[in-house]
Amino acid sequence: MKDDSCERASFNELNSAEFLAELKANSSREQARFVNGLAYPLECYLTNKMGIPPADAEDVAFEALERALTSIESFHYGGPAKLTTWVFRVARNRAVDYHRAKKRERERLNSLTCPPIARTNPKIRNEQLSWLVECLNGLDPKDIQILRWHAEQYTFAEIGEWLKMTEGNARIRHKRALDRIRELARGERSLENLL
Amino acid sequence: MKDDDIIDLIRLATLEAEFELCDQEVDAILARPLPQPPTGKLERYKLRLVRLQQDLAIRKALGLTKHENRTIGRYLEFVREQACLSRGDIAERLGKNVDFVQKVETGDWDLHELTPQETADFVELFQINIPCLANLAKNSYGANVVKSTFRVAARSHGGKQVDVRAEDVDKALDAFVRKMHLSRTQELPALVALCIEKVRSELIKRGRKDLLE
Repeated sequence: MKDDSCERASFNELNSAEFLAELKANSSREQARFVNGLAYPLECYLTNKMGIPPADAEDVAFEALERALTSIESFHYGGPAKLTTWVFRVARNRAVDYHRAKKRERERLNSLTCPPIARTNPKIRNEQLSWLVECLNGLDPKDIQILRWHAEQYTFAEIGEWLKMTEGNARIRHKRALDRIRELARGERSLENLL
Repeated sequence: MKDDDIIDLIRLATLEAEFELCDQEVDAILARPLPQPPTGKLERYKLRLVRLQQDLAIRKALGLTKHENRTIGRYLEFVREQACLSRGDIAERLGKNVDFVQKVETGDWDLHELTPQETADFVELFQINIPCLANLAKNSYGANVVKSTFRVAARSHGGKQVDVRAEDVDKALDAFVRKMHLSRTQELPALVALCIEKVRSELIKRGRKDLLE
């Protein structure tokens, strides 16, 4: 949080085999390094990217860290993801659970307090969202990544670098994917409002 | 609908869908400069870290401990010792004093003498589920009936202080009483069953359904 280059170096250390071995051996010192290194970046990610209210982001971040430390034995060095990525995935899943729980709570409250007409609006939005999730799953995985990353405000230059394509290529694929969604939405009656 | 609206909807949809983060994305997140943490944030992190490590230690200790024949107090004491925590640590987590924890551990206070909230605090901290709690509570109740009001006392010996030695002898008495009790009735007494029911309601109120089964 002080010096950027130091921070980056420390994140690389968190991803080393030696650090993981210490963590699996329940070393309190390494647990402290793990939590101190990742808690604040996780909290910022949850607030800025995952839409968790700042008041709850710290709790969700620590729940994710606890979950990660509890199941650290199941993480294997040299597997499909780095340790830091794995922890962010755990945090992301916690955030998804958080939103789902809030949604259920909102629906319960709506059914208790809202008149029948007011209740239909969130339902339409939920249908749109479910349709969109289904629609996204039908697209090319690269196009899904581009749409998602752009929606999360990454630049086309960054996206292009990650997917090993030019910035212009990423931009064009994004536009074509949006056009495809619009085309698919035209065939859906429940999504008339989307167009 | 404009592109921005669809993008906004995609952002919302990705919040609920199962997308996997990749290494490059997380590296980019970690490489970005973060805002200065608000005042008091790092202090709070320190406190949370201590609690997190205590919870992990307790979880590990639970894996090493069998509860079948122990009284509730002795079980909590054993788990605490396995987790290398002091009575002070537990007292701090529960917002009580050391004396309170000691009385529960030694069996001076049985389950029905605690409020459902106090018992639920123990249950949450030690991650005990309701069937396990019922078993422990039954053992405690039976042991207290056998033990009646008898208490032990011991002189200092072999370099051990009076209170330490008395505690050791008390543990030995509890182990003896437990064996005596095992040969007796195994039904859950009505008083204990009522306590367990109240604790169950309290856990439901706290949203800890994971501890009910």
